[in-house]
Amino acid sequence: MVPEFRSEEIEKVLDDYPEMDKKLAEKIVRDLQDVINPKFVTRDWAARVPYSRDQTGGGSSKVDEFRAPDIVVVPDSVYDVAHTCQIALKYGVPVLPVSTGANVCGMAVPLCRGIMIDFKRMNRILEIDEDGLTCTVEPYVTYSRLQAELDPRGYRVNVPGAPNSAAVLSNCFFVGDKYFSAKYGYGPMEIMGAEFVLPNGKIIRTGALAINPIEDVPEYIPGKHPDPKDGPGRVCVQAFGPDMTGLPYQSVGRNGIVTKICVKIYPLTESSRILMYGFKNLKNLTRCLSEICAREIGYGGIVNGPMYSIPSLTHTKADAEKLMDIFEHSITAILKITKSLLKNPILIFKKPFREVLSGLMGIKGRNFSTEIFLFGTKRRVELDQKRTERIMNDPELTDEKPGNGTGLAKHLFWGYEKDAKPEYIYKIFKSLGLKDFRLDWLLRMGKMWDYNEVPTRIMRKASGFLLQSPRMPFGKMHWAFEIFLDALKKANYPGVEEGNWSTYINSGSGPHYACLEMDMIYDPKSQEDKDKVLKILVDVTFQLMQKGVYFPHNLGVARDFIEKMMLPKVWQLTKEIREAFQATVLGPL
Amino acid sequence: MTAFTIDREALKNAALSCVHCAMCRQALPSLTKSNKFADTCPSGLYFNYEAYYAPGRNEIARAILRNEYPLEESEKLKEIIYSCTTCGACEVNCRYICDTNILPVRITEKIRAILAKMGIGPLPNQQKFANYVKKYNNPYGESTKRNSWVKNESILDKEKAKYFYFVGCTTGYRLTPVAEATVKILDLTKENYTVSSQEICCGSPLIRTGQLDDVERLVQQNLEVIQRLKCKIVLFSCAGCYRTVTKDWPEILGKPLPFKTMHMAEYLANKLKKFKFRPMKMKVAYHDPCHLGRHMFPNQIYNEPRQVIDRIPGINRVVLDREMDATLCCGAGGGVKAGMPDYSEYIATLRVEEVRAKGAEAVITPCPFCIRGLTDGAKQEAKNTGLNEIKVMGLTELVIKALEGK
Ligand SMILES: Cc1cc2nc3c(=O)[nH]c(=O)nc-3n(C[C@H](O)[C@H](O)[C@H](O)COP(=O)(O)OP(=O)(O)OC[C@H]3O[C@@H](n4cnc5c(N)ncnc54)[C@H](O)[C@@H]3O)c2cc1C
Ligand code: SF4
Ligand code: SF4
Repeated sequence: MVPEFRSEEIEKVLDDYPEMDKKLAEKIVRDLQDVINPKFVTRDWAARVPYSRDQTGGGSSKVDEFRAPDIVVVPDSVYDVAHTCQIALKYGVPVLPVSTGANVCGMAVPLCRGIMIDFKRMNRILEIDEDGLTCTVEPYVTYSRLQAELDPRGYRVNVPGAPNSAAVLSNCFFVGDKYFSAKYGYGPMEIMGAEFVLPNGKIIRTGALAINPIEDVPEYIPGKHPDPKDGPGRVCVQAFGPDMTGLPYQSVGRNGIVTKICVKIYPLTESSRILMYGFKNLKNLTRCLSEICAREIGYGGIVNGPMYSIPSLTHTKADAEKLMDIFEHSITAILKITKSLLKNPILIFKKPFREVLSGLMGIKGRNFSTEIFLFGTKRRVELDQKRTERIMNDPELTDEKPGNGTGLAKHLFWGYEKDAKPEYIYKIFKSLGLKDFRLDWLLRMGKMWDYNEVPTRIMRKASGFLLQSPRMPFGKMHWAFEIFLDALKKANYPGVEEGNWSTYINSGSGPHYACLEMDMIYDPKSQEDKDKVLKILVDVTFQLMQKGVYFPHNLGVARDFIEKMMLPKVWQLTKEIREAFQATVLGPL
Repeated sequence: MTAFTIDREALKNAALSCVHCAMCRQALPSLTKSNKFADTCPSGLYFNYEAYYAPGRNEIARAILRNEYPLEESEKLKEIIYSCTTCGACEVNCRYICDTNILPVRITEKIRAILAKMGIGPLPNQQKFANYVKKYNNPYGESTKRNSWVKNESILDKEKAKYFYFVGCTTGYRLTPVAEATVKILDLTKENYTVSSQEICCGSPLIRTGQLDDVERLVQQNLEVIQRLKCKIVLFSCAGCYRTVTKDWPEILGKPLPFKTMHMAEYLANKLKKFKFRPMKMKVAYHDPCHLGRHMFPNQIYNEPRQVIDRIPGINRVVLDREMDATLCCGAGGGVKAGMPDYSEYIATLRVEEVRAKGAEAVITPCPFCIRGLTDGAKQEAKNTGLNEIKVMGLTELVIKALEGK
């Protein structure tokens, strides 16, 4: 029996958080300004209103409710943050941090109002430690900026499937799923240490930042970015007792506000390749993927399913249909392409053209495609490619022969192959009549580990985007996928016909689990649409949780309710821990 | 409905379509060449609150249009809305990701117009230049005859010339060397051109600051002047005028322009074969004016000025980390130089610092407004560092120097 979930209940609870009394707010502002540069503490309306939305909209289930914080603080240091927490505690008002605001659960919207901490001034890459292979950054450092700093030095950071405008710190603490998670694990496994402020204002330093904490942070000067210092050769060490680094995980800023994170970096490798396969049956595919992870081949993999989901989420309907036609009936498509390209015969005899075509043939008529990422020495990549090929065709794992789409992947992800020619894909697709398809989109897709921009296109297609990304063993993927499909149909989700939904499977942590991302886009101005999408998310979550599947994504407030209903003991314990640290708001419940 | 009628519903929809993807707060990931030089939103990088970035302004627009909060109580509202240099760095990023109706610069400009109607905007100095435009037809309050820098009177108000050189207020009143270099080039290429003593402000400073009352008059009057002289191509040495005439005028008129428009950068690139440059030993950087690049989407002028510079023997053009679509505004646009001079100079200084970091001794740009902004920045940067001032030069001036071997 799936418990019923009523959004009115949430709304009722949120009513308990009215705007702060003007006199109290003024007093708090003065107290904050005692320590923090007065320019960066304000209760001016125009400075507050912009925090009333994050990537998820207004954060609650209502489409036209936009709650603004009572006070905004833009801190420059851990001490500013500590002072803010102390003052919040003194007056018993909520505190909520935001870094880039690109989360997908409405978690950076101050539904309980109170003090908003905006980290835009804490944007320094403090240290790159080539000896210990770590770097230490502040909350507002985005993946693209860190990657730009690391790349010339021959390193990389483990990038999530999120847009690269997201911050490294909050992504890691919010248990981000990375491209190389299969090898290195998910967000928290990247964290070597942290500095954070407990709700009571105490500063804690853990792991690699416990010894040699970075205290002499360069002065913040607008638009200037000091060179990172060299690191001392950091390793992650823990004293006796529990690892406090875990305290802020997933806690949406309530268990502690993190001011520095020390994360792992990795040397760039000699060679790389992305392999692509097409399968009809998801079970076959996940079994193969699980085996690939178990044998430690490659760094990760993504399953896209169903095949048309990416085009339909990122292209206009007409273009998506044309692309689906190519994927589903590539023989006819190829005839069409060849015919249209006969006007330009030189192209036809070129190798990239043949490779793209054979890649298209490989995924023709398949429902699911997978991309496997290989890295290492040239020899290792070649060897891993052969091992993958054997697994994908192992009759003990799969009762179908998959198609090989690697030729297409090579030119799609051109950044990782020396002789890739993305223009060929462009020319071929264009010749099939795709109208709104832009070469720059293709080019931007091509280096996704370095600058991932494609997810942004997904959420921009209809402006509303919500997802659930439960983690589960590979064996449960097929079952969870069916539950999602079922929920879509039952709720009469308007995007079914348009194909405005998709699922992705990201390999998780070695062979142990993977993450099934269930995406839906919708019109955020329509209450009816939003209600449906939220209902699907909640239904799916309840069903999965009843079978022991862990869920991370739901609107922040809904999440509190779900957790309380489904995991009452865990919920109570978390509440007690938070209370022990005198957190002012433990979420709306 | 005139081009300046504000469709509040469309504007609200545009503001609500912003998803806060954060792509516009700095250079796009794919265009980020370094952490040091990845900030591209002048107002955001300087003021730091979310309100000063495009998504923040979008929310303020939403709140204004939906009467959500008592924004009239805000003391910061004016600074927030008028600190945007309308450089378009946010807009180009937004559009790169997805063809979009959001267009943050447009939202800001329209909100400025709404605030002006409400009596909240503009900033005092911006109001002053609008009054000057009303009285003197230029924002500098100059009462002298237009284009009196012209020495050869035979080029003045000539009918049926191929090119109408639209000089603009900044070039004509404040940076006459740019104008003089431009006519010198036109003379050298034996072009049939004219300069008008009747042209007036193109309307750019008013449009960018939301002071729209006088704009239609300016456009109509200029149009009459150009049409009276029966010229086929209007040529510009100012990126701001070029953008306004090419993009805003047709919108205001509700029909295509009856002439072609061309910027000197394009003109020079077309005529490269005609020039015999003498070697010039100089390491230079090129600064893309927002109005010639991002604002001209989808016809951004990026390659032409670079071609011209690269053709001069001995010149070594260094590549800035922020260039083309990811350029950093000189800080002077959107009425900011007049309205908030300190902030404007700060941004210009940052830009000059980038030029210095790349080892260039001069920065070339084909816009008089950028020249003014960057010159202030260069002075400040030299003061801060104690080093020789980075030279700031117009593209036409550079070309004349290379032709004359100076
Ligand atoms: C289309 C799309 C696809 C995505 N795909 C993936 C994916 O494949 N893998 C993945 O991992 N993620 C994915 N994401 C989600 C992504 O992880 C988040 O967008 C991002 O990491 C959240 O970080 P942020 O910097 O935007 O944080 P914000 O939105 O600013 O904050 C997120 C939460 O962390 C809290 N917080 C912020 N700063 C601090 C701090 N200093 N201390 C404590 N708490 C803090 C905030 O209060 C908020 O609750 C995707 C997002 C989108 C839009
Ligand atoms: S303006 Fe565009 S790019 Fe910027 S946050 Fe909004 S949607 Fe994203
Ligand atoms: S136009 Fe320029 S200054 Fe204005 S918000 Fe966009 S990037 Fe910032």
